[in-house]
Amino acid sequence: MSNEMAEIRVNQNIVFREEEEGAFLFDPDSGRIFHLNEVGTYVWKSCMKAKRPEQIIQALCLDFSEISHKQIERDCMKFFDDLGRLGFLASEA
Amino acid sequence: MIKPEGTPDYPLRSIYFYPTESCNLRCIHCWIQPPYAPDDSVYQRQNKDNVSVEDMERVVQDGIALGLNHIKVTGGEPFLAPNLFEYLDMFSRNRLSLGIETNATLLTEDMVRRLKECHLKHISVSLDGSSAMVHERVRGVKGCFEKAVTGIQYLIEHGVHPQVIFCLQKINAHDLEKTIELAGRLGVRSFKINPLSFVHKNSKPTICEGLATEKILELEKKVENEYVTRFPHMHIDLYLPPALKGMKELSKHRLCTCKILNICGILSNGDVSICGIGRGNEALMVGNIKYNSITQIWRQGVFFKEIREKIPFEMEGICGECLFKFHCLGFCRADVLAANRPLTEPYGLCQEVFQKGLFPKSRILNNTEFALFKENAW
Repeated sequence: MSNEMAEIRVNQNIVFREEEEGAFLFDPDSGRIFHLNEVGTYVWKSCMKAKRPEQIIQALCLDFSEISHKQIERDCMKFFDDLGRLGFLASEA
Repeated sequence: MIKPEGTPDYPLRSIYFYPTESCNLRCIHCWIQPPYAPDDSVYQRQNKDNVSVEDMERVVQDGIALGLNHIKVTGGEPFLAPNLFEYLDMFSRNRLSLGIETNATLLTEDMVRRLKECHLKHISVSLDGSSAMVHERVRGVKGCFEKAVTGIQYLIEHGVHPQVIFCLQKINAHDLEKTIELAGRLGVRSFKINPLSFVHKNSKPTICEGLATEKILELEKKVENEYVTRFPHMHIDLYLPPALKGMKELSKHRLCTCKILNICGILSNGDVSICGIGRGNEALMVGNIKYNSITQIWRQGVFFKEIREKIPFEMEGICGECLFKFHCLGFCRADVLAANRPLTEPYGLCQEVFQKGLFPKSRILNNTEFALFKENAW
């Protein structure tokens, strides 16, 4: 993981809600909704604290030691990419 | 809630067009309550005053300048109109995407072939039971089940995939799953369950009756968790306000709701209102295309102005507090207007769910969001 990865910043307009069956993000401008599972919720909460991707990935590796670092990194980057494309996340170099 | 500064632009995106108000079926739940036309002579008597294709072409051409890109043809039963394909050809010529709502009982293979040439984007067919006994109890005319099934088969055989719409009410709720199975056997890929609206609770309670609120919410869970695996080749949707939808289902698409701020209805006699609700209620009429241009009606119609002023800013009850209010827009305003209730009254189902303490707290706006939404609503 490169140290030059951009910091993850959440779009402040996005509404985050937790429910019994998981959590969701809601973009009030587009009406788009994104369902978050348990891990996604954890990552989003980390993003809300404006952590760097490598910090989030490192923390996940500690909590989910049965999953390889490579797998977690790949899944996380895809997650950031998906949320970025939908406008839920922005990144700052 | 304060309305944001500036006047938002309101493009006219879609027209709900009623080529005839007559229908060859007598559905117990129909809120339009169209005149019954069992044969051609009755139809002719009922449809002397209909708009012409030329009238509608003028509307379409003016409408395109207002942002029009879609026509939904509904009714009554649209295929009763002898000049239906003249309308459809004209819509196609003007490159509008087309949706049709039909009971499919009058469809022939030749009609289906012609439909394919009309930029048809969506066709929905009503099927309210898995057998003649159930379907025809709802639809009120003997023999209509077999004709509807045949119509669906014609569509699918010719590669036009219809959405089946099931009007869920007490009289047919027991038959829902069998109807989904039947639709699956016919090759249907999309199945929409429309719970009987609150209009009927107010207007025709002795004839048809909707399910209890709790049963509807239970069904939503079942659709989301059970039907998705039981019927993997079909998209099944229980049509509910987004606040009452399950989370997984909600996140599959953008919020799917009535776009009341961007649609109007044109009835067969040229009267204009929201969807089809204006019929017989002068307070809801905005104009008539025989005498006014659609541009004038759309921009200056008193009722449209009222809608833009109040929806969703002045929505009352739980609709005023809902997280999705700027997209849901009160879900179905026709539902309250048909019952002669105020435009801003909350949607009946949501309000009842809220009053019973069953409305998800996570779907209610907090104070911070109120302020945020005020700035970003449009």
